Amino acid sequence: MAEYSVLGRGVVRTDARDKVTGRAKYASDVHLPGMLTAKVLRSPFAHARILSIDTSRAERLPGVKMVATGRDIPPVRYGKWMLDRTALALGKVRHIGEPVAAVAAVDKETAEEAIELIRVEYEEIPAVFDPLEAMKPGAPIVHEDLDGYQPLPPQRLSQGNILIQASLKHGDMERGWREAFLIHEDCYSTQPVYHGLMEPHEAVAAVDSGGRATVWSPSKAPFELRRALASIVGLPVSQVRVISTTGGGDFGSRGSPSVEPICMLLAQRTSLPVRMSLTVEEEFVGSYYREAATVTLKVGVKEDGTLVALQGRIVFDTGAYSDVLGHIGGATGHLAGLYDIPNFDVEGCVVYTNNTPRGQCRAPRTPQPIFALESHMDAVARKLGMDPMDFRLKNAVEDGDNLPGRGLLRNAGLKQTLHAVADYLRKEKGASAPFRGWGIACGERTLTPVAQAGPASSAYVRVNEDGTATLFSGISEVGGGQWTAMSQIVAEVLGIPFEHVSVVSGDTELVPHEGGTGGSLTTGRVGTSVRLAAEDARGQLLRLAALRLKVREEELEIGRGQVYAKGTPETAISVADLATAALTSPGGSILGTGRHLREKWVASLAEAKGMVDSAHYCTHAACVEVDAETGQVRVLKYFACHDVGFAINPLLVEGQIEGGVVFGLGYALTEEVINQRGRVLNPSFMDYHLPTAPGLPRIEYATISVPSGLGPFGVKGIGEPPTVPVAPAIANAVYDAVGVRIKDLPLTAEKVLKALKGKTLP
Amino acid sequence: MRPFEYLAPKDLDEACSLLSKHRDEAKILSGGQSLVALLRQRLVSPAYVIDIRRVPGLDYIREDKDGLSIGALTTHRTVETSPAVAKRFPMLAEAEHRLAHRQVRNWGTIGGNLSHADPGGDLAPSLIALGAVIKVVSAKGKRTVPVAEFFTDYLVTVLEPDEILVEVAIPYLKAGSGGAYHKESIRAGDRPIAAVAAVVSLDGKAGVIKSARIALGGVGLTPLEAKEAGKSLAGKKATAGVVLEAGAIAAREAQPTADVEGSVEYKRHIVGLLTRDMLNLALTRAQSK
Repeated sequence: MAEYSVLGRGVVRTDARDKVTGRAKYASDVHLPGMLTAKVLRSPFAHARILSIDTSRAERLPGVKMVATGRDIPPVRYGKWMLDRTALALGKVRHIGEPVAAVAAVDKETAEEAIELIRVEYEEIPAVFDPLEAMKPGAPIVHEDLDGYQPLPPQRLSQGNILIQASLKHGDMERGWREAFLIHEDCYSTQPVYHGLMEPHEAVAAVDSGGRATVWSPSKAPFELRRALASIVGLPVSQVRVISTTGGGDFGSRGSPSVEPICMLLAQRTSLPVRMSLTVEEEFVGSYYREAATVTLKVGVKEDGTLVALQGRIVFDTGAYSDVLGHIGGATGHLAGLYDIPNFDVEGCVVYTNNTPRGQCRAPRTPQPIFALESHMDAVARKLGMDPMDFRLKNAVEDGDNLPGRGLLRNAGLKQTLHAVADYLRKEKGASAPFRGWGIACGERTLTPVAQAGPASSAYVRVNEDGTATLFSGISEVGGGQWTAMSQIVAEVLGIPFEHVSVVSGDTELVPHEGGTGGSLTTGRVGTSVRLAAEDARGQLLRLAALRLKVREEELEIGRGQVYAKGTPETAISVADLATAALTSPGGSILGTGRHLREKWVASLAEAKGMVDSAHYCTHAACVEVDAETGQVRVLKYFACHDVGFAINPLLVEGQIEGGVVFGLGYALTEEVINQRGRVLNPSFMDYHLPTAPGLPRIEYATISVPSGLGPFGVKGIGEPPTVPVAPAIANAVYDAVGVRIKDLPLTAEKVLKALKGKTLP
Repeated sequence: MRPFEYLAPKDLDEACSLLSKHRDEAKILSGGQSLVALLRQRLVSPAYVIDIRRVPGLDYIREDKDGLSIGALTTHRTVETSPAVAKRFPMLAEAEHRLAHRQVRNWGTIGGNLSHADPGGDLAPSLIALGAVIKVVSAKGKRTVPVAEFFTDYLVTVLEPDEILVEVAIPYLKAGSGGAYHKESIRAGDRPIAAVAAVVSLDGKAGVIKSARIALGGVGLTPLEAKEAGKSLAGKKATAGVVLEAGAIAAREAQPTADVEGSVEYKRHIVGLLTRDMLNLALTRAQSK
């Protein structure tokens, strides 16, 4: 491995000091003169026609500046994948909590009072909450006008509430079943879970006298938000400025418009700045969270453990709006992402219901199929009498395997992570004890097609007269240490100390265009444009130094803030002097630009065709103890091994692994947004059971480095993968401990106890 | 939260007179750990909030002749870490230790906790089982109420609108007595799935239970005493069988409702298990005294 001075080091994150001392600026720190507060009236019904809305009493309340309903705003539909929602309900409501009217008032109390004065006449209509019911002919239709929406998914089959149907086929199923020695079939289900944000959704919008709008929001995709808002309020994109504020937690929640559209519409109409923030309770009905899934699997295997066939079906409940639409293709692919299975037939669909909206949540669409797949593989191995580890090692994908629907795998580290976990288990497992068990599970997240272009990323690097550098990038610091990793790349390339790099980010007026932070792809994708920009600036420094030192550029070296001819450091010119000199040189100031589409890094497009790289493979192991009387599952030990390609900052990697495992433990054991006929029963942090520190085990980890051929310096990504295999690792450990297989998440004590009853205990 | 007028009396007399003036329109603020949550959720919207934190003489733990007296403004953390409590009533220190989280215990007071009458509150079961009494005052005078009779309905107590809880008095346990408390919860510090406090008194060397009191938390509209379960033990030799039977009775006496912590059946099941375990622990402690 190359020798680096800044990369690979666990430097302290750039935003740590401000966050710890309370200086970080969140959306709630934005205060503007004359600012109003907005609140919305939410639907109490899951499915109802709006017959009339009387806002007159609310409008007369002193301090109220504006009351708006769906009819007062442009009838513009928006959405992440398909344009199917309006900022305020138009004609009917489709879920409990849907905004029906909005108020802007001088303060929060007045806005809250005004909301209570609005009278809405509803006519309730039949609703549907179970996605399997919603798929049947004759079920209440959530979106009557669906076939007029844009853009319609290509696989749309005009079937009522079924939004999209996707299938992934490979090989010959008949042959697969013929070859099978054992066929195992089962059904798994997963629950909706909330991101658990410390900072609920919040935004401030202001419109100047020329009609130009500025929005402050902890968005992780400010340019996407700019585009969406411009279309919703009817402005050209250049007339909308989005300033991304510090995010108090993202986990997938900050990628779609939330309170911003209403905020901006009210600011436009009142000509005053408007703030809108959700309460924690509103977060559970007025935002979105991870979709529930039902997964059925049928797997055929030879006597020696070779997998020969997999048939499956995934149903996602997207709730009242389509934010889950884009998840289904990837979800079906996950069932083929871990093991080499020659015959494969998986179908997936996304279904509308009258539940609260579902959408992206850390590793969108991945934990559901992986929970099913990895529980199922454990069951198959045990039925065969094989060790689950040996079974996985036998079937795990490796370089050169062709993954259905995805491509030819390269630079994959799944087997290495399995071997690392096998080593860990040999050391840690020890003698078996009653009610104690071990479980393993593998995970993956994203595979990147090598030849695929985009999404585009761009960055500037400016070298300042004092030898420091400023990075201009559109990525948001959503908490994962994005700014820190990017600063390390700039420092490494320019040969300057890490502390000498600062980041200007998140303001659409100041930074070049960026797709957004997410998908565990930020360091790989954005890191590439940042690296290119830094290399461009470095080239400019070297050209200037070559002129001054009268040597060829190739003979120069850069490091510790100095440029010098190889072997003669006494001739050095400092980066500061070069940057200063540049200001009066013919070439002008030092400003590097980096723009990239992925093929930049591909030697030959033809060769790359069909190849996939940068897979986020991992394997986890958990040791649990089950209290046979209460059913409570206690996690005693946890080990996670990830192929990260290259860890730009090992401290940040550790943070993501620990945080991701905790996220997954909540999913496995205690978290569930409980819905009863479309109503959320536990919309608070008291009743929604996020994991807390006293209940957590020590989380150990190891990283494997199979460098990616795409990401800068070989990086792959780590934000989401650690959360993926946790639930099946725990469920498999519970099976190992007490011989019951829980197939629907979460594994609550009560569920485990119920399963234990009537079972002979070891 | 709706706007209210904030009042900060300097002594108990002033607090009582403000309360007798504003009655139902006023709420007492001490540590704020229950009240502020209710205000935020608009479950209560008082016109006046009377902050008694500056009222002197209500923050104490005193070892009297017959028992321990704890002032209403004493924080949970103070009770949790008090050597006097640890010596006299370890079960109370244990209950406090499991109450929410340290941040809450640093602010919350025992007066506020009991006055708000959360059925899952951690203090009430132990105080009921220990036979503690609550002292209240008003402009009209003072009175004493057993904790077992203090709670009347969901979040409702016997307190009149003009009364303030000022003290909890717990009689010392006699020799040969012991107590224990535990709550089973989904996460540490959560509301209970079920909580059980048990106090037993043994009759000399014979290993016969003279009396037993069992109280339950989180399984009814109020904290409640499992009277039949307690009675079932009186006069019996402390065997595994009678302890198990008391657990079964307590499970029947519980009045849980299904919620995010668990189903009715599961909560009863936990009551049975905890009653057994707490009785066994209380018996061990009684024998060692």
